[in-house]
Amino acid sequence: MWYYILAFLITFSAHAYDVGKVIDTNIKTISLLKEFKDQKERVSILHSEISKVKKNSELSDKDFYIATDFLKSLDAIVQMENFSVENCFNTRVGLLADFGVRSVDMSEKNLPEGAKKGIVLLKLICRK
Amino acid sequence: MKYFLFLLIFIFSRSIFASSEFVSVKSDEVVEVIQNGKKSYLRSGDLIQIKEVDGWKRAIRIITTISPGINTGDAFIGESTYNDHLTDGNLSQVSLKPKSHYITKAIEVEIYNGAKVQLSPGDEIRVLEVDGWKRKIEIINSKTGIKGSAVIGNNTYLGYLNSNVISKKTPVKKTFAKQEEYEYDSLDSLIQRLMNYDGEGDSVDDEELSSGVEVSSVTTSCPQVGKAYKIDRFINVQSKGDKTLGVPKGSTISVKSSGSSCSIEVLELPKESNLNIKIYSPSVKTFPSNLNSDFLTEVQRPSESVKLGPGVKFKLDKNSSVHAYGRRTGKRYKLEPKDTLKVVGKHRNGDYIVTRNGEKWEYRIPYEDLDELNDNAQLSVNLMDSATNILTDNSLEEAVNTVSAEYDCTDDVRENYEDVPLEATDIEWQTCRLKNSKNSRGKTLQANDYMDKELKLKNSDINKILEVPEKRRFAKCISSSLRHGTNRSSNPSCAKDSKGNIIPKRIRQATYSKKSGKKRFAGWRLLNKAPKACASKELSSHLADRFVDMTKCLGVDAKELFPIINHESHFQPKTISPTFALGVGQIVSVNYMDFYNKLNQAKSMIKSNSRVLNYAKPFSTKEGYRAYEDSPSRSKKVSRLTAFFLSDLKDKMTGNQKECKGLKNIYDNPLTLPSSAKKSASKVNEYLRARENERLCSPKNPDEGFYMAAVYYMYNKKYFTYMLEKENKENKLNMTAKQIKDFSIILARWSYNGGVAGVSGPFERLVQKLKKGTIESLDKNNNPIGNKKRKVSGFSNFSNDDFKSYMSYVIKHRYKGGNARRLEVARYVAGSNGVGGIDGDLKQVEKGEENSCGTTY
Repeated sequence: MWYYILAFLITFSAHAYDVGKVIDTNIKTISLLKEFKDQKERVSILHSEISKVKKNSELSDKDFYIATDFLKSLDAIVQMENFSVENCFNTRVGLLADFGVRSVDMSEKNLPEGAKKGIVLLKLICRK
Repeated sequence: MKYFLFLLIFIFSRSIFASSEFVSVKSDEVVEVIQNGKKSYLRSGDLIQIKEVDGWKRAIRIITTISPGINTGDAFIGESTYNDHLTDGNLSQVSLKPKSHYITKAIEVEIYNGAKVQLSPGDEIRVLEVDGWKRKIEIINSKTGIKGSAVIGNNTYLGYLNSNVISKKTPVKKTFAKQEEYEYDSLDSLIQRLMNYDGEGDSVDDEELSSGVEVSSVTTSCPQVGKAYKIDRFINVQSKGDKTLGVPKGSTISVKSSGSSCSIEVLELPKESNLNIKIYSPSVKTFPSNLNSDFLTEVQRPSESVKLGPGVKFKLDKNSSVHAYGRRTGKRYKLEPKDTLKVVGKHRNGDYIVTRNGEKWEYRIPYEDLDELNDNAQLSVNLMDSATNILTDNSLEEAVNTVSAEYDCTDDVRENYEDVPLEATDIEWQTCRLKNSKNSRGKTLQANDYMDKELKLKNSDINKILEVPEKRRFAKCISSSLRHGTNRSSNPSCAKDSKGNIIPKRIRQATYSKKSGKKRFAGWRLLNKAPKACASKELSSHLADRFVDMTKCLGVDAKELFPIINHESHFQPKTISPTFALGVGQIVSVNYMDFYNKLNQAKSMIKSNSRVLNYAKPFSTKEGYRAYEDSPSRSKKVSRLTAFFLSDLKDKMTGNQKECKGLKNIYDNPLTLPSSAKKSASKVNEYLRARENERLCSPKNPDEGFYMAAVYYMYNKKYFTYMLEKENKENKLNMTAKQIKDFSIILARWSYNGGVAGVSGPFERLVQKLKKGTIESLDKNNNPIGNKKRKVSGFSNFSNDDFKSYMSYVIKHRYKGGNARRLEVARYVAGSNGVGGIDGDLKQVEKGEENSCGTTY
């Protein structure tokens, strides 16, 4: 029994600080939702949850920037009125511009990790 | 008890495995079985369970079948026949756990609720048993996210199997470039691909490659060994001790040896640099890609060229001329090849003081112009006379010291004096090369008056521009700025169709190399390459006219914006970065698209008199804007940039203000992407690439670049002012009103390169650090000094330089590991070792007259 408790605590603690993994899991969940309304609602909830994590936790540099950049990309996603090709395209371009992507053509290579996750979420919810 | 249970399970599983050999039928009407005394043939896809041998026959159980006349249940088959079929492949053993199959072409299957779903290439399924006419499958992984049981017609399944639409082979991962937009096997693989994706290398389709020019190893070889080059940008090098060093823009280097890396010797550092050249001694290494010919200008070795110190006598080459200014009158004169010139001293701003033909009158020549002629071997130095002069004038000391030349003399006004308004006489125009010419070493120097031809401005028009004091001032500043541009411009075709529209044309072409017979994208070749723009009277005045009008229209301080344009492009309208950022504002395709997306949104709202107009109207006030930013993202009706167009620029875009004609033209003729171009990144890139010449040709250029730059700067500054005030209040940062004003300008400048989100993140991190009451002490390169800390109370007593240092530090340390881009952003405002960056480039252009062109914060 003690082993189980120990294992649980280690897992919990690891997840509490690995913001990237928390975000990934949520992206997967949101991407499986079918309705636009549900997805948007979940994105809003995720925004508020990550904001709380950022505000209340002592994050490492890496996790801080993942959370901050991901939140900034969520700001743009929650403003979308629908996931039309037009809207998806414009939001993606806006995100790349906000993060100062200056590479040839519209490459996502230079995006910080948190913003990449935002783009992944955008692509997944836009592909339907 | 648990041991007993374990034993029971073990025995049970053993018994199942013992009798669980299954085979599937692979050929139609070949395998004969006997059921209820009747012979029948099995069909392909039928599944049988093999049981024990009984004499000549083997007992079997038919699990699934589509053969007419055969039912599921017991049957038997001749033992030798069974073995023959196994050998011939008519029967195939089936493992208990069905192996995965992969879809190679899109197919339709039916899921448990009767709905039909599409499986896409790469989706993973397991093929299960036949149920009547149906073949059961299990979807393991699909792009639609659907998993679980599904069915497919068995005949269809067999057809798919034969034609390899359903394959047992694990699909070979396609390259990212060939993958359809948004199609990914899984989130993990998508993230992985995004991390590894080299978008720049693979962003060209086959068609473009086939029309490209084959250039093998375009940037993989070092420049010619032995020659000296001036570098037009900052490069990273590695010293012998494997220490990474930076060589500032404007340094002169020489290549010592070449290979996979280039060994270089740093011969001279720019005047503004405070680095010691010995740190590069005896040589350093760098990658060939850092020494791209676009950023190298071949020059004479400093040791071989004569330093233009006091006493040096020279003449200009036959195709050269240079403007000089009378020391007493300030009037402008053209010095020509027939004149014998002698350097008598240096002005405090670095310009050369010369005399002509032994006369007593003194003239000042801008140092950039004379140095350029010297670098290009366009000066004939009389060495004997120079040596004698230096010795007889006893000016050896003066040759190394800056002197203040005497000017108690009167200039004579020559006939070729150009009559410009009196107030404009101290502006330093450059003499342009109207045609290609050769220097004394036989090197061709290209004509550099490209925009002059296109503008066709009359002298009277130019003088009219120069009558406006502010335009005159910026004509001078821009003229000085143009002299420091890089040699990478394009002079594309600006031919127009019958309706007067520029005919779209590319300014770049794909280049490729071949490896193992396969074409590989190797980069872009700039077409119609032109040298840096000449700081002519026409071009400088025209740019000043457009720049000042733009700042008046938008209500932005020209001195606030000047340093950004100066750093980005040195006001060269046709300069192009390696990442194909174009023109005066160096706008990359992402920002170009973003600007027009948001402008078009705003325009459509203005045209339809949308209710959003009333929503956005208050955002032009401080309180209104604060309310917008404080509202939750999901309740915001428009993005920040669209809101800026609606609240701050609507009247300017739609009105008839004289200064705003450039903005109105952009508003009336925006870029509108066809919907087909929005389907994927490659399509939009292709669309934009095909029209890049339109952006470089007037009348769009330079207005579009100026307005885009200013709009990005202004709306970012607005956001940062809000953000700083909010953070100051919430986190008690003790910022004064002046600090908020200055810091918001610094952050807005920074965000011009790093993006508003890219810069606000590090700022938030800095605030977190300050809140702890201590922060790392930094050295002059903005790196922490061990564990040394300094006490802080928010931003109390933080100078602007402190702020820039700490911002540079947090940006630089944003990610672990090397990242050229992060260093570029970190150095963007303050530069490195006194050179480059917005601040360093401004100093260079102002030539000691601080605050004459721009303001450093």
